[in-house]
This record gives sequence, C-alpha cells and structure tokens, in this order.
Amino acid sequence: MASSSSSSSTQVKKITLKAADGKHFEVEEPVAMEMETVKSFFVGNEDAMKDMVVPLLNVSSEHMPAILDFYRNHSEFRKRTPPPPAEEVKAFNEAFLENKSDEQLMEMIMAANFLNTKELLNFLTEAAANRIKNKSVEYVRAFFGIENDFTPEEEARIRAENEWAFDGLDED
Amino acid sequence: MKKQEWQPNLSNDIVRVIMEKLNWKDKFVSSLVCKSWKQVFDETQEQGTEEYLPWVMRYDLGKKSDDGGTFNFKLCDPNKQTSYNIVKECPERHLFLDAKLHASRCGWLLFSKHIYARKIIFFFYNPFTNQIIKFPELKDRDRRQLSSMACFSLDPTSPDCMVIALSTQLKKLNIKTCCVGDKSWKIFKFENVGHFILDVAYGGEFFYCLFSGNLGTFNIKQHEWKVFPVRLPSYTDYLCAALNGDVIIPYLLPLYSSDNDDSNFNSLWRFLRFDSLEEKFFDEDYEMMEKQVMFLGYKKLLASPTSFLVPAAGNARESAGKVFQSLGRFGGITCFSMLSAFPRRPSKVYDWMEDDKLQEIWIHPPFITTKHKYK
Repeated sequence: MASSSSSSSTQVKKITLKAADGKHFEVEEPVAMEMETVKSFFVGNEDAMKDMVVPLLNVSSEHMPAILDFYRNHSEFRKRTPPPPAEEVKAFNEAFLENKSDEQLMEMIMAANFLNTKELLNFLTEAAANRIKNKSVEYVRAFFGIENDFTPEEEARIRAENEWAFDGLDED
Repeated sequence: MKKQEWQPNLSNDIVRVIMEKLNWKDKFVSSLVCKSWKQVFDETQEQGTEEYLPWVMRYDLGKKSDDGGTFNFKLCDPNKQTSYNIVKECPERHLFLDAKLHASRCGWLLFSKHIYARKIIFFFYNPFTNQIIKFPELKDRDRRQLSSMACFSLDPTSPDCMVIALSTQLKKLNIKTCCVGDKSWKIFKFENVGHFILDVAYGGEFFYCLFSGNLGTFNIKQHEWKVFPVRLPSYTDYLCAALNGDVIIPYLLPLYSSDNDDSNFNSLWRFLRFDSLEEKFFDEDYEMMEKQVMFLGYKKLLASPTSFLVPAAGNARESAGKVFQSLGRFGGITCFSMLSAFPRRPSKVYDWMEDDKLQEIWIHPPFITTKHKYK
C-alpha cells in the first residue's frame, strides 16, 4: 500500500480508495474526484484528504482497475484540444466493453450508480440497453436475473395493450 | 462468478436510466419484466416522455402476401427515429386487400372495402393492439356518386364513437352514420351542397366537411346540417384537427412581388378557424399557430388526408411553427415554416425513414393520446 508518494509537493496528490472486499487502490486526486461519491466525502473537510481511506462499499475490486481506466481516459478526452476524433473514443469504449459478461456489466452499472458518475452510468446503461435490444421479455428477465411476479392474466392484459411490440423479436 | 450466486439489486433509478435508452418497443417489452419495472415504465410515461409528435404508418394495401394470412406494415416513431416492421398474423387479412384507408385518429384506422353484390363494409383496425371492429354492411347501390369520404369521432373503444360516411351526387349529399355496436346505419339526405368533398374532420360536436367554396357542419347530436361559404384566395383541400377540438383550414396566400420576376413568386400560409358557436370564420393569429406543429397528410383520391395539429410541447417543441406535409409514396415528407414563404424544402427531420415507396398516414399512438385526450 503506502507507496512512495513521499518525495516532492509537485507530485500529484493521491487518494486511497478501499473496495468492498478490502483491497486498496491509490488514485490520483483528479481521477478520484470524477466520482461524486468520493468528492462529497471530502466536501468541507479538505484536510481529511491526507490520510483518509475512502471506503467504497458497493464496488468490488474486480472492477476497480477498469473503472479507473475509464475515468482516466475520458477525463483526458475531455481536456484535449482539439477534441479527440470520434473514432478514438469509440475504439476505447468498444475495447472497454469487450469480454465483459452480462453479469460484469450489471455489477459495473451498480458500481457506477453508487459512485454517482453520470458519464460512466450513461455509458454502461447504454451498453446494457444495446444488449437487450429487440429481445423477448424472457430474455430480458434472464439478462438481469429478475423473477417474473406477474400472474399470467396480468401479463396477457399488458401484452394486449401493445401487441405489435412483441412482433419480430429476436429468437434466442 | 456463477449466475445463481449473483443477486442483482437494480434500484428503480437504474431501471429508469436503462429504459430511457430504449426505443418505445423495447421499453414496452421491458415493462413486462416484473411489477417494479412496470411501475418505472408507468412513471416515465406519465412524467418524462411528453410525446406529441404523431408516428407514421407506412403500408401497402394492394399487396397479397405469399401465404395470404398476414398484413405487413411499418410503424415509424419520430421520437427515437426508429421504424418497426410489423408482420401480423391477422385472421381477416382478406379485409385489407384493396381496402380504402379513410382516416386515422387515436391510434385507430378507419377502412372501407367493397365486398360482394354492391355492398360495402366499414371497419376499424388498431395496428398497435391488432384489434378489428366491424360495422354492419352497407348497401352501396350508387357507384355514380361523385365523391365519398369517411371519418370518425372518438376512440372506437368508446361507445360514443361515431363513423360518418359522406357522398355527393348532383349537389345532393348523403350522410350515413353508425356508432360502435349499432345494428344498422342511419341515413340522412341534404340538398344543395358542393360537388366534390375535399376533406372531412371531426372536432367537438361536429363533423366538418370541406367543399370547394364552402364548409359543411354536421351536428352529431341534433343531426343538423349547415353550410357556410368559405371565400379563399387560393385552393385548399385540408381540414386539420387539433387535439383541443378546433378544426383549422390551412391555405396559401399568394404574394406577387413588384418586379415581375417569376422566381419571386411566393405564397404565405394562412389559417382559418371556424368557431362553431358563433358560426363564423376567424383568421388564426400566427402567435397561436407558432405554438403548434401541423402535420398534413397525403391527399389521396376520395379519402381524407388525415391532418393533425399538435401543441409544440415535449418532443414537438423543436418543431414549433412548422408544417410537415406528406407527399405520398414517391415524395417523402417536406417541411416548411408557417411564417416563411414557399418554396418548400425536403425535411431532414424524417430522413431516417426508409425510402420504400409505401403509402403513409400520420397516426397518433394510443399510448400517447391517452395522456392528452382528443376532445
């Protein structure tokens, strides 16, 4: 942990974040401040920054590196002049989602929601929305791991309101 | 991590953010996931999504499908700029073949079809729910009639919904009406009307019928027919029904510039509103019109083009003061400002729709109109 952040004041300040499973992550201050949840931790309490470890109860350490990577890259994209070409951002985003399972995506959505960062939450929910595009109700339930609590009658009644919407869905 | 161990706990806030990203069809499907998702869906329908823009239905009624058992059409949602291809198993597919589409209102379509032995049948079809409502058969002895049109008043699931069919012959007018559930049609005859019916529309307690040179009103309660002369400087064939029950006659006022140059020929939109209480026409202020968006349908032979006027609110806000006009299967949709003079230019707004040479009609999805009911 306590890495060599000692030497000079020119070095970027670091903040220590603690994931749900206890693992610590040292993060440059501007990157940590992308997360509203972390930011609000220090509001009116700037001195606390020095040695405080910020506990992130809902974020597993499995996802921390990817999430931090997202913040670093996207804040760099925002700062750059001229702005980066759309393809570069797209390429990063696509690489970010590659090999992420549905469960991993879901866990990251919940993490982004807890960390209260709009940009990441919007990006991940957009990805989830793309994965359930034109899918059946059964598929969407399985995707999110949600149990159906409608009675068959209730379900049939709602379906009839917009019967067309169930037409031509992907087979899965 | 194994799937069984994974216990998701998506808060309603997250579900809402996901639903915002979905197009209407996927959003509706996702509302069936479970009760709490349905609740989020209902909330988004009530507050956030103020959808006033009519959808476009694209269809071809002359086409026989291979197995004869389906009716193909497209529903195009301007809100997410998505077209949905619908292939419906429809037990009465034969009804649609060579049928005539008369009007669209509250998400329902009114069709008529000649069947056998000079009989005609009117029926409603709802492309969103796949429901059909049929009316009693009607004798159609007189094929010589010069023009005929039909229209309806309310949502056909309401018992007060009335269908009206009008036809003229030698300045005589036949009006036939039938309410949902009636066993037969009522027939009325009136004299001294115009030759050609240009458009019909419903608003408040009246059906309106536009001829060249006058406007007829038919009171649905008293069954009274009145005719009022309309003096316009140019030809018009649109009656436009507003959500508040007003009926507006849009027309073009020609402008001639002083310097005899053809390229400077222009015209301006003007809007005539008929006040049914005072029985007078009023020029509607631009100020009023600029807070609205007008959708003019494609003028087909002997059928209402079905035009709507909607408030420039919600997703229609950006289109305030604009007129969108369907130019039919080969023309697409053009757009022009109510204030600017002609010429019209093609609408970039509807560029996302495929150029598939289908017929088209504006349609207000029922799940949108339930929010701001037609009066």
